[in-house]
Amino acid sequence: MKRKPGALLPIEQAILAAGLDLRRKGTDEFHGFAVAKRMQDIGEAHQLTAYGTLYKALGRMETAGLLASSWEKADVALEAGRPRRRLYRVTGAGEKALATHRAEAGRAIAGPRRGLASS
Amino acid sequence: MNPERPIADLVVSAWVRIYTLGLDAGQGSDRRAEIESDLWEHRNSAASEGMAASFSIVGRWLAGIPADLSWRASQSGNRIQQARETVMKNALGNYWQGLAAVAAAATGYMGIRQFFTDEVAAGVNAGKVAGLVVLVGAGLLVLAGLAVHRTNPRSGALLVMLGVLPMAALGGFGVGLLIGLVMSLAGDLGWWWVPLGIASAVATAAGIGAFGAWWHASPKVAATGPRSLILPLAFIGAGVLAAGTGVGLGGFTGPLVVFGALLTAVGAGLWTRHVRISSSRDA
Repeated sequence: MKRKPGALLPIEQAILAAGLDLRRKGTDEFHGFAVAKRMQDIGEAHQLTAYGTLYKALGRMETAGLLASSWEKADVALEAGRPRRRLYRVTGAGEKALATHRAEAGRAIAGPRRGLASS
Repeated sequence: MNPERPIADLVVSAWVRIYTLGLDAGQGSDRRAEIESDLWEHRNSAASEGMAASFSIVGRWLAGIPADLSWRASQSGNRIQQARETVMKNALGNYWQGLAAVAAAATGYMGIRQFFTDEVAAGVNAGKVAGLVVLVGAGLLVLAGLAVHRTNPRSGALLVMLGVLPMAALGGFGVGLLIGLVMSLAGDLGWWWVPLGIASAVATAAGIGAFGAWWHASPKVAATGPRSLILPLAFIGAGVLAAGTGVGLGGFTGPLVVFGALLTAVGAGLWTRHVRISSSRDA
């Protein structure tokens, strides 16, 4: 099914919300597991998001310009004794898309309430 | 295989290797590295606890399999599409320019040869002169198109398409070759048509190739420098020549006058466009 231009899927909203939450806490860039964990912690997901679902969504969002990514330098990972991380950050477009989505969702909820109050 | 690694991690790693098999190095290795990193982070996160982590990893793997498969399918689709486009572009890029040059030579030759055969004994008439102008002009148009194509791919390809048109049409766009072959094999036509049929088929193939090049070329390549004036000048020159010849000869050369006027109009339009682009760039 073709989706409306600019519309966000639930997982994309959750990733953007978690990414921006991490940024507020001082972490501008995040790797896959970190964002999955954050999504769970802030209640955007009940469990850690499945690998396939998470990385497919991250790739799609990067293509759409909502996220940008870069690979960590090899020597940094080597020094820390772990595999290299692919680090994502929420772009301005991603931040705007989430704000627009939330505003529209807010209007959709407020609309029927206003209708009920006036009747 | 690392024997100390938990089975859950080994299963996930193996699965990633399976569904990324055959992908381009970048796509496959990026996905594998991301999952390896995720597994490591999961095992080393504060909340990770032995069996609980393994259950969580297996759950994440199972729940993500449909998305993995659909991702893989989309990657394969992209690769096939890219391969098709590359093959198409290479094939078009390699053959049509050579065919166009052959078609240009054949077209020019067809125009000139009527003055060097027995037919000339019948006298030079307006029709022969018109044929000379159209065919030689068309050949020159193809050559101009090939030259212009280097700096302005779309316009160059368009010129080639116009230039090969008379020769392609003369032999029924290559179909004449087949019809001639059948009739000659049946024994009542002879083989006089072979050069014309082959030239027409070559011109048709070059025209199709030029159309492909025109279709694939970026519309934003149009140059605004002095070299881009070659195209409108070629059109205007060929148009004035054709129309002038038609008017001078009179009689049944009306179509030649119309053809010349059309070429001149196209040239004038291209010139206007060049001036507009140049002035907007300078502004």
